[in-house]
Amino acid sequence: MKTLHRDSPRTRLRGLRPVVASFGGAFAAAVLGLTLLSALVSLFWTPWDPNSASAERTWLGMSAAHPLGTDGSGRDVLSRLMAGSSTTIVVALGTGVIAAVIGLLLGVLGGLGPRRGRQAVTVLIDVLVAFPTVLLAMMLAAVFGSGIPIVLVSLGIAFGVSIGRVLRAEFAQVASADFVLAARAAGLGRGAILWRHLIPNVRPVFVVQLSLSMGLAVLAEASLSYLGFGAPPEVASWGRMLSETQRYVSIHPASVLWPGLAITLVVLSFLLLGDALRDALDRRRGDGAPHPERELLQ
Amino acid sequence: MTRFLLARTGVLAVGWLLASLVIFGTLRLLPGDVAQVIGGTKASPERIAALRQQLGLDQPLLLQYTDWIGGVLRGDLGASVVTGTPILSELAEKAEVTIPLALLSLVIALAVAFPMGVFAAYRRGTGVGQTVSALGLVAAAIPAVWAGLLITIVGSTWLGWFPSQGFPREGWADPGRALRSLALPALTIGLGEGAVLFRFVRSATLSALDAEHVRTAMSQGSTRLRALLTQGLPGVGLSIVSILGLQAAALLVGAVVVEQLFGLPGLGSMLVSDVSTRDLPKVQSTLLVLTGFILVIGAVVDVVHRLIDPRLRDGAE
Amino acid sequence: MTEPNPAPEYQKRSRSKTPLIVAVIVVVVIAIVVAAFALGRGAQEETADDELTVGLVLEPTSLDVRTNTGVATSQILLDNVYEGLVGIRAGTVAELEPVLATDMPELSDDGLEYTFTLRDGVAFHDGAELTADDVVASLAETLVPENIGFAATPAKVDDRTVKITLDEPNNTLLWQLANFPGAIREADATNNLADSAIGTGPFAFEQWKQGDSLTLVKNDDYWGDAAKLDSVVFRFLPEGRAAVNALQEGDLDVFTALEPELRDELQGDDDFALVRADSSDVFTLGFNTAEAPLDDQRVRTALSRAIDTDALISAQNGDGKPLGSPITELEPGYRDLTDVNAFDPDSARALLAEAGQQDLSLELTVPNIYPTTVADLLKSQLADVGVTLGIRQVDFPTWLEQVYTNHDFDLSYVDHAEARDFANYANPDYYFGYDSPEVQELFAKAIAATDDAEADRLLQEAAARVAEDAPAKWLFNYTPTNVVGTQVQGFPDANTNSRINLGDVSIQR
Repeated sequence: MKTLHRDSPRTRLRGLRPVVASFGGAFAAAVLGLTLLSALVSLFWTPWDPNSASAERTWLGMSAAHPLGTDGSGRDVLSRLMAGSSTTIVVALGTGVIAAVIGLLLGVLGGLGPRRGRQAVTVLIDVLVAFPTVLLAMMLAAVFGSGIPIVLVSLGIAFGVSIGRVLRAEFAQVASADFVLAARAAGLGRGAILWRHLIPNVRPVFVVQLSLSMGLAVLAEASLSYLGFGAPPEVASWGRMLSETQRYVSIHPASVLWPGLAITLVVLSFLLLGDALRDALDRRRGDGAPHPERELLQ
Repeated sequence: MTRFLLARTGVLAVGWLLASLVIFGTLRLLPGDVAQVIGGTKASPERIAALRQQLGLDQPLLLQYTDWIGGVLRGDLGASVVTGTPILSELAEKAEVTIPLALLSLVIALAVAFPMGVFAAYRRGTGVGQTVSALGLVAAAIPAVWAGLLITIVGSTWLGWFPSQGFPREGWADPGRALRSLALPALTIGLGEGAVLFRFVRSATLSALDAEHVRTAMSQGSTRLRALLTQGLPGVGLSIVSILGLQAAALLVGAVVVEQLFGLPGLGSMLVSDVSTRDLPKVQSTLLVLTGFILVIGAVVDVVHRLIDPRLRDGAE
Repeated sequence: MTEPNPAPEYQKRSRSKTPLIVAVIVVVVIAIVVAAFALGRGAQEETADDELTVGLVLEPTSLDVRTNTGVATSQILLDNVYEGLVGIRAGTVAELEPVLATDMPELSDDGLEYTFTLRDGVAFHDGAELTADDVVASLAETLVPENIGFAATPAKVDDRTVKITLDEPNNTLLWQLANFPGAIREADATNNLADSAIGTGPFAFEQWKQGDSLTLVKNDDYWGDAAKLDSVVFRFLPEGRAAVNALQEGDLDVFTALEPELRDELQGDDDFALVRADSSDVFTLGFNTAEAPLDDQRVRTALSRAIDTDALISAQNGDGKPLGSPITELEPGYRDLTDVNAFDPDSARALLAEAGQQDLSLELTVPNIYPTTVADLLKSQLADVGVTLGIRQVDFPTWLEQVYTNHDFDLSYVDHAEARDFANYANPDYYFGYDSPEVQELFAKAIAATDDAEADRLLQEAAARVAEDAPAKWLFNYTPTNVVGTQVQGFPDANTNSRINLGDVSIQR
């Protein structure tokens, strides 16, 4: 059985140092930091207007004026990459927030609620997990017009359900721990137990899952853009850049390289971050046992 | 055991019903309908209204739903509202492509993930082990479209071993040719899925290495490796089986993108084009069958898991 | 359960090589399997030598020519499987010639009666003989006001003669007879018209694998010159790269409407000819003329003048010709009106200022079947004159609902592929919402004219008027690039976006 510790703020912060100390964690922090910086800068300035198209500037190679060349509509690739980084951040964070809320709700209801409620939530989770996300996104996109909000909602639901599945099991397990029963016997209210005991012990798993989800959300947005349900045309997004240029891979291979590389690096960073967080947090809990089920996330 | 089976079947049925409601409801929200699509830009409003009536689109929603579900329960999935072709035969035809694709992808994924995952766990902490882990991570981070492109360039343009698009018209009459058409698409899905499974296998193997019965075997003199192989891996295999149900949905999603990329006439591309033409009866029946399929896999896996794993049989939940 | 302890240290007995051996075996097995497939590639599929494989971008939604009027259906079925009393001459966009009729019809003096003599010895693909009853039954079903916009009553005069009577003179009847409404079907046939077809043409329908391909076979009992191909397979390849791969892998003989930017990929390839086909496709930027601010002609004129169509054409890799009105070069009523509202950004800005709309913000609705290059360029060009253009991409049914039916849009970008569709500009209920009594009158006179030259002159005048009023901007006449393998002879070089007449096509491998 796991040892469950109470968190104090100081140990919490100090415990994160191993995250950055490991190579993976440092790499992840660097890439994500760069992406965030690029996103913020792009709100105020990019070398060219990312949407400035011109028939005379199509498919230019790398040059001083266009460090990464131009695309099929004559737009500067570097500027679009920068503008795309803000879309990536929005997708990752937006999906993260929605998935977190849904996951917590499902986890709490499914793991801690009354028996009927728990069964109902379990069935709901099983059904939603079986439901392919892409199709959900397709239908929502057709209804509301494709756009970032649709991507966020459909991905948020999909990942939220996955997180909920994991959290449900965690909450259920934690709820039957000795010290929780003791606290209940001591007369502590449900809310207090939830807040002071259950959530802190579930938090490590939750944080790691969230990190994974955010990375996979960025990947999913690329696939959705390819199918036509991702970001709208005038919002620069790496996924869209990738899907627009992939058909010209034989004639303009470099144009496919940049967005693909950007996506891979950012997703890799989220995955590395998740791993580093897990190593740091699990170690602190004194629980060395890995949990394979948590590696999965559609 | 029987009580569990009954309960599990009940859950399955309820879940399926719930799915049907979600599918039906969401599809009805779509703007534009099939009468407009058929009529196109040359039809007058009267023509479209006439078409709508002819196709039964103006019936009350509840009636449309019960008609549909009633038919499905009788085994009649209905017909395409655009061409009148029975949906079941279309599904079977397209499934001929997608199901082998999914299976092949799964085989490739497991063939890659299992040995590498065990290896990475076994050699945890060493340089080689860490490199393998890093490779797995990178493979999981590559977008499907990019992966497909790279695989096509290597497998088709450079090596010329496999076709980069299409599926033979005679289907499986020439199995060699059909398999070759599926090779690159299956590789694309399989490597991505393999990367995800790799992490899982690695984690499960680490867990197995730490498990009591493995360490007991080791303390009795067996080498770490032999103990792992004989005592630990069966448990890992079991865990993989238990998550297969979840991965079915992921494989389907992968198939939708890959079928578009490689021009395969499978279920994925059929769904995309049917949503495009608003052939709602076809889309909803297809989604229902697919969801049902995945739910059934999940239920079967649950039951098998319970049968095999003695710890779970005692009703402890 | 006990707490996990750190694993105790113990000596490994020997450095086991088993994992290495296992890994090697796995790799070798995989390599063998792969090699087996690679070697197996030698056995190529024998294609029947006289089978032509044509790639299309769009697939028909249904084969029912009574209701489905999409271009994919006409490309495949009209001229090849179905025929009409008259048809479009191969190599042209709008010239008519008799097909199932022996000659062009006799026209009564009041222009109300068209009399056709039917050809002898024509049989449907199922063996039944073509009779006047079939013709009358077919036309009675499709020659209705909802379809063609006017009343036309077919009647049997005798076994070899059919007469069509109009309420008012209308010279578009022949054009309609050459298209979907005129396709002659067998009166007693019971096949499902949505997924099969029985006609009189040089090819018979064999099989439709939805989402993949459609196969036609040679009609050995054709009344005219037999087809030179044994069979034709139409493959549906919406993804441009897959099409290029298929061409290069030898799976396709012809691909129509190649994406303009992919021309570069096949440019130097000796196995293919890149042929630009003349067509009547007009990429139209429609304005919602009925709603503010686009109901102000100054605004529409300004928008028209802000657009540099030459730049758009060069972005299409040259796959287009400039246009000043919706009537293209090969259609009746053509006049070069490209200097009406030609590219003049200064004038555009002045007009917008005059109309008090310097900071206009408009939305462009685009179906997602087109690449967005043109839309991106439009956005930039309009930004240049102070107009902020938002781009909204929707799927085609949504476009049909929102733009076409509900007229809920500002600007719309769509390819009007049909020839001789000027009637749309004389229809105030069309999605442009353009209501000009002068144009309507001119058009009504044009279709009532009994003299071709007169009709042409009237159409030209109407077109000039439309160009001035600017209910839309005609961005370019799309002349698609068809990729034709050098082994193929006789592939049509005009109008291929609407019709692909394969009667004269042959292969020499």
